[in-house]
Amino acid sequence: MSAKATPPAVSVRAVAKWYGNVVAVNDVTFDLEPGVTGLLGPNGAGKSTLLHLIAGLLRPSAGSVTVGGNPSFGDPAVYRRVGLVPEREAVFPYLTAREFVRLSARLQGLPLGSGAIDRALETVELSMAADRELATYSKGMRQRAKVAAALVHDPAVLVLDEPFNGMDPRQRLHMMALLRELAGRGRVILFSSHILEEVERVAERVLVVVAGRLAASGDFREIRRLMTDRPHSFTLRTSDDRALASRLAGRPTISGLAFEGGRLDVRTTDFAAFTRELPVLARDAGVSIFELAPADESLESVFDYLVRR
Amino acid sequence: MSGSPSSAGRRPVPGWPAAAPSPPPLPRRPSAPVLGASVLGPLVDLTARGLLGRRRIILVGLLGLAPAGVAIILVLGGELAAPAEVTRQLYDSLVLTTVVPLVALILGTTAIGAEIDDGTVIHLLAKPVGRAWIVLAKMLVAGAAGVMICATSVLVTGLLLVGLDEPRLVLGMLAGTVVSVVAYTAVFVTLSVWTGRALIAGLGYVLLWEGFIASFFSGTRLLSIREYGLAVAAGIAGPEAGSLPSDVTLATGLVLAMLVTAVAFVLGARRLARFEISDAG
Repeated sequence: MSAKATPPAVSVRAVAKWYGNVVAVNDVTFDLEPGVTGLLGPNGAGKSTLLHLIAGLLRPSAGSVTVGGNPSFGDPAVYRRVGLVPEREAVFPYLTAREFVRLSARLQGLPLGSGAIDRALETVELSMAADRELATYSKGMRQRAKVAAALVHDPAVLVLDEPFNGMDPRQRLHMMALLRELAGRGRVILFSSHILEEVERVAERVLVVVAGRLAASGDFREIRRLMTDRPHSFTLRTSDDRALASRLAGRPTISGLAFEGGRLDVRTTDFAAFTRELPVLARDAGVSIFELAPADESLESVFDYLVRR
Repeated sequence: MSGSPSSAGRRPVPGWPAAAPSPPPLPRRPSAPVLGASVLGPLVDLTARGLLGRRRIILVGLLGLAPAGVAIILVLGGELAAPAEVTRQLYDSLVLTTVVPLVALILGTTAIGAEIDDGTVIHLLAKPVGRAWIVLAKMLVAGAAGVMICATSVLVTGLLLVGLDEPRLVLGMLAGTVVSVVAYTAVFVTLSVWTGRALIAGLGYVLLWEGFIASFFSGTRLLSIREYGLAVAAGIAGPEAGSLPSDVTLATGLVLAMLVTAVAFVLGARRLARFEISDAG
């Protein structure tokens, strides 16, 4: 009961954002609490729009977005507790990384000499290159400089738009460890990604956005189970498609069969059972399987399924 | 498994203190206010480096110094019959009509317009900084750069052509230049916050409004920054103003220039306070 007394760290309520006739975000509602939340969705799904709404850089066309109970848009004071790592690479090219982070510290009102600048640079492993101009940085290094600038005031809420873009695998792992570390210290972390594995490795909770709508939200394992248990389609090339199809047709886990251009398309409602039964059925029918390929394993098709269910 | 972060797999990150005992509370009302005057220094510094570090500043410098170049050519060409009159014409038809508005247009629209175009403005907007201070810093730097370039050019032009024979004329031209540069840059900085096509809109104002409409319809001159500069120049030059045409008094010109600058500042700050980042995905 007492937890209800304080507002959620971030609250998004029935938010929509449209540009003329184009709806970028539509009727999205969720709360964020301390921990890492992954915002997952295909490119153009509205992830950046949603992050910008939370970061107070876009005004909601409908609904409300609050940080610590205060509307995020139109109140610069919100950035006392919010750090933003934008997706766009743009940084001031004539500044060194140290100057860039110092600028961020000064615009946050931090006293110089507090060690915050060095600590932020060290956190993203940029101390050695901190006195080089950002114009000379690689994409991954710029990304880390932006993270350092966003972290310098140790914000309670950290919003990152595709933070792993341009990073090499080692930097990626380091960044994931950093996000988990911050979450362990009670920070609210929200990051976007269009790569399922990235979200899986670092996020406790996930928000799946497709075509501007929240398709699924909650514990990652639950979403993962939904994704795994969805109907799957496979394309088969065998020595005798019709013989195998007649065996498959009798199985309750098979929901569809079709002959397409010399191949057999199979649709199953139980991925695990199908992969167990197929070799047995093929052997019993004396059919050789030359090729077995999933037909709908793209992330878009997974998202599409989540939207439809 | 994959859902919750396992503490066993968590590596400590160098530089950060160990885990805090409890998460920081998020107060309902921000306890610290939006930052004010203290951010002006860093913002001015950033803007100056951004503006003066660009190649176009060389172009702006050459454009600004064009009147001084013309004066050098005239002096080298031989003794002038009526140097004061030539100076007045140069000031009226070249400095105030072309050089000052174009220099202010380029500087004013670059100061913040370039940051909006390339997206770096997000690093300023995502800070607890009063938007008015961002606009003020942009106007101060653009205005100061414009004043330095144009005033130097006018001073060199005046000294080369009339020397110290007509001190009030040179002083008037300097004052008129400063007043018009400040007002122009304020308007163009604000224009670039309001529209992504500030350069075209600014050119339209300078060429169509000031160059055409205001020169034909005397009633519209009260809405022309060029006229304010001319009024200040002529007013201070007094008897040495000679043929410098001005339908506006010194006081009116000065007050209107200050009013335009102030209104531009307020509109720019208000617009930036409601500014929305345009890219989405």
